[in-house]
Amino acid sequence: MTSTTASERTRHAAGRSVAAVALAALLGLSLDMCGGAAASRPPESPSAAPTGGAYPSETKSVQGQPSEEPTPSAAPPAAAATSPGDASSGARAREAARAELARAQRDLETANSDCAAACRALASMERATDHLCALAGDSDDQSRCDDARRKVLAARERVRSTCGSCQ
Amino acid sequence: MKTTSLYVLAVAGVCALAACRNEGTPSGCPAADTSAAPIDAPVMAFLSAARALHHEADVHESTGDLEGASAALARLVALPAPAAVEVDEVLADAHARLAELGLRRGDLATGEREVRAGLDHAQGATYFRGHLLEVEGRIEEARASTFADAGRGPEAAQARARAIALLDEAVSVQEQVIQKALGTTDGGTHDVDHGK
Repeated sequence: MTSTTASERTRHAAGRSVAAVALAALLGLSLDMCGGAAASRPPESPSAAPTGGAYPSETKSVQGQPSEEPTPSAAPPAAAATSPGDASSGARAREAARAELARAQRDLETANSDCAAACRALASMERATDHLCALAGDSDDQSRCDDARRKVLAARERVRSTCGSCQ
Repeated sequence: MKTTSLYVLAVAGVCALAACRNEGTPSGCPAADTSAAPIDAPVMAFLSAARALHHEADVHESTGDLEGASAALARLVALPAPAAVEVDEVLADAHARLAELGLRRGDLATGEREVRAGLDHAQGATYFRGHLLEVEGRIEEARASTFADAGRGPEAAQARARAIALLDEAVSVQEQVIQKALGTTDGGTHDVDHGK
């Protein structure tokens, strides 16, 4: 049996990290929408993330973002002084950004789950085909072997193009 | 082990759902899908026990103790099982693993019995059914080899033909699983019935 525990953990860790990057992008967008003090936040993100671009550091900078969210709330008083409409439109923009983030997160989780299922199925398909072809004797069996190999190749390409590597 | 990771995923997913429900606000949690059935405590308990027993089986298997691994998995499939899709999947997978262990020990009768039990929990084109068919095909392959070694040609040919049919069915099922998972609408899908 092929062990894929480490690869599955890696794949899911990568999935979480991509979700974290999406979170950072959308939070940055929402902070920009807030304006004011938020303008000083984005430059901190690149400095928080090491040049190596390690996901854990990016995650940390993302985790730091929510705690920074309250800071933009210092902006509203100044914004409110200018126009109540600006504050409500800012709130709507933040809500829209949150909803978009939630959708992106769900899509990422679904995609990761689908790819994990496809990779598992592909591995089983490959094993079955190997055993089938090892048993193939007459021409009918050989036809089944050839057909199975074609299916595996097509499935492998499908998985590769959608999910990348399974390992 | 890949099977342990399957349950780590399942239990992690279940725990994540529970954590989200326990929070005062849904912030940070995926939006609730009100159309989906909630995972209740008995199911969560079963999944947790299953993960622990798979891990125990992993430990035994890592030392070459296939009997010990089988004993742990036998306890898993004997657990009181709440009615849930996740539970059926866990049981199907556990029976498949038991069948593979039987195959590795040369106990083909146990392997076949476990496949049969697993198929009761795996209907339709799912990975779990495909995997069980794959294992059964490999069991028949081993049976064919045993017959051939014993000079029982006709039985060997019969077992070999059955092995090929099962493995071919497994390929078709997994092809459908991949198409379903990745949204492919290619042809080549067909329903196959399992039967002797």
